[in-house]
Amino acid sequence: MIAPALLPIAALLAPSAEVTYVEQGFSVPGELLTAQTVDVDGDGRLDLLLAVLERATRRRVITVRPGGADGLFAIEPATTVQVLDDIVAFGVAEVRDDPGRELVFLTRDGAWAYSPTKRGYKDNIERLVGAELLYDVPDPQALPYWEYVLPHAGGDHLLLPEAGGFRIWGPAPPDAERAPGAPRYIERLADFSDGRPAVRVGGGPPDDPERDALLSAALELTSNLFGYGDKLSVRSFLEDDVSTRAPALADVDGDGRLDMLVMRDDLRVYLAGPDGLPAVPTRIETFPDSMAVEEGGRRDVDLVDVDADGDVDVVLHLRAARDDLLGNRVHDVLVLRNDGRRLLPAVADDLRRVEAAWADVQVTDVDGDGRPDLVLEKAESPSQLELIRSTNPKIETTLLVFRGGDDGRFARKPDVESHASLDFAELGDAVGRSDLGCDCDGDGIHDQVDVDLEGNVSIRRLRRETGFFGGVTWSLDATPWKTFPRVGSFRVLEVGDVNGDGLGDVLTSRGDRVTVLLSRRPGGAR
Amino acid sequence: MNVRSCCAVLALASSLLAQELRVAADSLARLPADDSPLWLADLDGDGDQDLVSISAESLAVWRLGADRTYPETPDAKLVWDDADVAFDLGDLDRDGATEVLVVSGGRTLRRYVLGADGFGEPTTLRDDLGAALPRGVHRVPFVQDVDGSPPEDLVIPGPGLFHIFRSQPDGLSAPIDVAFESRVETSVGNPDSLDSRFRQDVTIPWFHMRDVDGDGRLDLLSETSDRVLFHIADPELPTRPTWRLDLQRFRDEVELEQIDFFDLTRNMSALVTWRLADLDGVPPNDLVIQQGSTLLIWMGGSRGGIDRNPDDVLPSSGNLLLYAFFDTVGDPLPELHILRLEDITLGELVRMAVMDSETTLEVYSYRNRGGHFDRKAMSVVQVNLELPSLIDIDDHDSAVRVGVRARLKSDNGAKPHHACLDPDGLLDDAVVYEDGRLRFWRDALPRDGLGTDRGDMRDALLTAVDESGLTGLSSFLRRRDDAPEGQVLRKSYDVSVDDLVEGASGIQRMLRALDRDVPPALEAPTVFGEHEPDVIVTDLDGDGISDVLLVHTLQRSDDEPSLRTVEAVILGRTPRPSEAPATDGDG
Repeated sequence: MIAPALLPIAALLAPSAEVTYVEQGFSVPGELLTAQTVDVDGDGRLDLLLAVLERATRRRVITVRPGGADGLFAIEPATTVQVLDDIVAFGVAEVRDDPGRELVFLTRDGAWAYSPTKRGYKDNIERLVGAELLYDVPDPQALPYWEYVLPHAGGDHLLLPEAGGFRIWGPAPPDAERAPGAPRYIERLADFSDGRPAVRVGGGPPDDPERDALLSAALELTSNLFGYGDKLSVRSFLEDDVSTRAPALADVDGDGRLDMLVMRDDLRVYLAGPDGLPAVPTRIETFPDSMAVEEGGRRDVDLVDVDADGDVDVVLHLRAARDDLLGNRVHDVLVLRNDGRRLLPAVADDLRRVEAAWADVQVTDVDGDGRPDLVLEKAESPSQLELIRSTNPKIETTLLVFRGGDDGRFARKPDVESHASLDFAELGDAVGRSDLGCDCDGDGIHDQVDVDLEGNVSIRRLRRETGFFGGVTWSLDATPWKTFPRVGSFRVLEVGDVNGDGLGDVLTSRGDRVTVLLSRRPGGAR
Repeated sequence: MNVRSCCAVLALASSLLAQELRVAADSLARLPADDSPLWLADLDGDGDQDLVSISAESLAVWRLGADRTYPETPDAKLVWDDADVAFDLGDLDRDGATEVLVVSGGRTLRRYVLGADGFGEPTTLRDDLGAALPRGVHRVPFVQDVDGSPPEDLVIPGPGLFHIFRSQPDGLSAPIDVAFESRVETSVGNPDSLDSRFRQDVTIPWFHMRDVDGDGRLDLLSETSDRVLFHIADPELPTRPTWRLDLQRFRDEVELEQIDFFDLTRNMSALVTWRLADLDGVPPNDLVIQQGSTLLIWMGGSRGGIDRNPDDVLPSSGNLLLYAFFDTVGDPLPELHILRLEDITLGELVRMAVMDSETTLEVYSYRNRGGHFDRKAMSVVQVNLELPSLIDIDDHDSAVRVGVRARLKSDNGAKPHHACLDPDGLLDDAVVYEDGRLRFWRDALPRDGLGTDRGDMRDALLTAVDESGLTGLSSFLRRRDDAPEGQVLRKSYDVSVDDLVEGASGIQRMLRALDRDVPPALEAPTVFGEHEPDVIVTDLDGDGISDVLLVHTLQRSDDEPSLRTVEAVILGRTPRPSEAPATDGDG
């Protein structure tokens, strides 16, 4: 994830013609596992952190390319770390006194600190936490990035999951005695309200021997005919799965500190103080019935400051149950404003309803006026009648932007409405990703970054125009302002201000190449 | 055998057949109402099946007594000696009694035997295992017959390796280490969302035992995403792989950078797969590697040695979807058949998903010249496949799918279970649970249905394919191509959904058909009333007659907690009073 875009007021004034993009490409010797922009060396500039599965060795490797004063990343990595086989995930945190921040490695039995300023693991790797984490087995072909780091003076706190819940760990007091080799961190908070089993119990022969016999015979028959028995197997030696609900971290009370929200049957709110999070919830709230997800439906709960008052609010996206893969269904978007006393009012402050096969919701300041706007994208399936009668049925896609007003509410009607009709022959063209999260041309208004299936990245400008007879109209250019052919893929697209100039930069990858498109104001000004 | 003896046998047989089916015993066992698994095993070696369940603390046993009843509470327990335990049930010493094998702490393997007074002191079999197992208590199937010869062997998973210990007369052998690759899915949550989870799903895949080189001995192979390891028995399985097939090397040359949504079949054909087959009639088996749309063949390659150039290279124009080797000209060697599918874009696929459509597959067949294949096809077969829409839009249902559903719908009520209720040894009797009662029918299900081994099942499926009216598909699979040399034979087959449904419903009829107009041979009440318990039909007391286990969670009263109730209905036979068995063989 790219760090949130900075938008200094001065950046509103740069004319689009002067903004250019520098394309920085980095070859990776294998498969890209993770790409992050994080200030690792502590110089205030974001660095490029890549985790790669090397093709030649089948080993996982982390590289760090520092961000320079010129707004570009170093060509060669300043740090290369061979990831040990037992590491499940990694993150970045300030956990000890070495220069810059450290890499934090998660294993089956705890967390470890590794300083990128030192070479190798000897006299470097140090155990931070000793605990049986939820994750039993490292995946040799993956290396997820761990985001549950709570900044704290004196040492960042780490939230780590276990069976049935999680614990938060922080540095032991400086004057505390520590035995040689003992972990540096101690428990600060524990929440096992998800139901901590004493121990996991599982495994055994198939439950339905008859079904398995039938399936085995069918597969063997097929393999005898087509020879695919080499790769077919109905048996696994062992299967195991374990999970627990993950908390959210957000500034609930607007005091600049990360608070924690834990959703069980209720919502537990932990408000952080100067010493970190409290050991017990500050308050407990309940979800109204109107916000429950129906059977077969789905609910996404995002935490966003929708009214720019400094504290986080709740945006619910409720999807009704779906009868089929392509049919339209009801999507409800509920906005719940944090009034300082509670996050979950009995009634939503704002409700939008659409019918679509697919919909996506984003809250971001599109027009650069300092007030967040509501962005809704949807795709509608054709009706059965169209499918039967039309020789060329179409899928309708729509982008809607509801601008935020002075009262902290979104406009009832969209100010930006952009339609496209795609027939089935063009469906391949429509699949891709879009992001409307940043201003790219320097006019203060967010622009849309797209990547299509062929990896072409393009930036389309969102324009605000005032007519002679009054009124303001918004439009999204059909023709891209910038195009970068075949540099990306729809699987990896991150847009945010990486080099601190207030403009959106783009991170994407394709094959064995990672590309960063870095914005440049005239003369490299920030 | 003389006439007198024959008549005695016949008389005894007829008397057995005349015996009435009856409920010999009916008992209840109770377990905690959780999801802990339940197994059957003969732990005390008396020839019947005991109930076994586990908890975080122990393994519990309910022994089937001489009166053919289970106790309500367990009468033997094995307390785990560690929080992280893997166990399995198996008869390592082949004495007829199942032992409990326990790996604790990842290091120690112990064997426990159930005696009359419970579990005695264990025997330590190994104390040096490098086992890598998930936390908690798990049953892991590490008692397996790996080499096809008794007694059973042990397979202990280590970090990325199976350690295989073969049972030998003087104990366990040194381990053979076989690589495996876990399938792991890890979720690290999302701090911006209240709905995310921390999760990990782990699957350890099995390895294969098969005759790789065609010498009649079982070999061992294990496959990961980038390589296949072959242990060729010669005559014993080696502890190190005989050779390795590097799939990643082949894959690097054909891997697509991105999914091609304008030619979906291209994505499917950009694969690297491998196959073993006898293509030239000369042992050992040959190796075929599909690299995208090209087939590479190494004669005798099943034993490795593929660093040389392949003996044959068969490039295919267009997308290669599937390939197969089987005979269609009536000679000992198999022909090569390549299945191609037309290009399909994403839009066309979506359209096919929502509307009834038709697609055409083409099979190109190539004559085998002693292991080398002609470059020109000897026949091209078109299979026109009717496809119903897969999904509904606006509640509209495809007429084809309506027909499919109607054909597949069973109108036989509750599902009948195959059973053996008479001395013929055939699983052609039926048990049905309905409305709290069990009903039993003799000779009521097709005899060629569910066999007791895979061979029977395979034969049954082939029979169903042939007899179901799948004229198009069956003819295609069994065709004989008799194109004269130099000419290309062209044929076309139409396969409708009707054909496929007929085949599927034929199989279903074969397995499930029960004539309910015939009164059942026996009915018996159960304790479950309107509940729907799980039904397991198997011989519990070892008398050759199937019995029934029913499992469901019940709450006896409001004051009592829910418990998982296991009802065991043991069946037996009693002679009819009017037909006393004959004692003299005179005819």
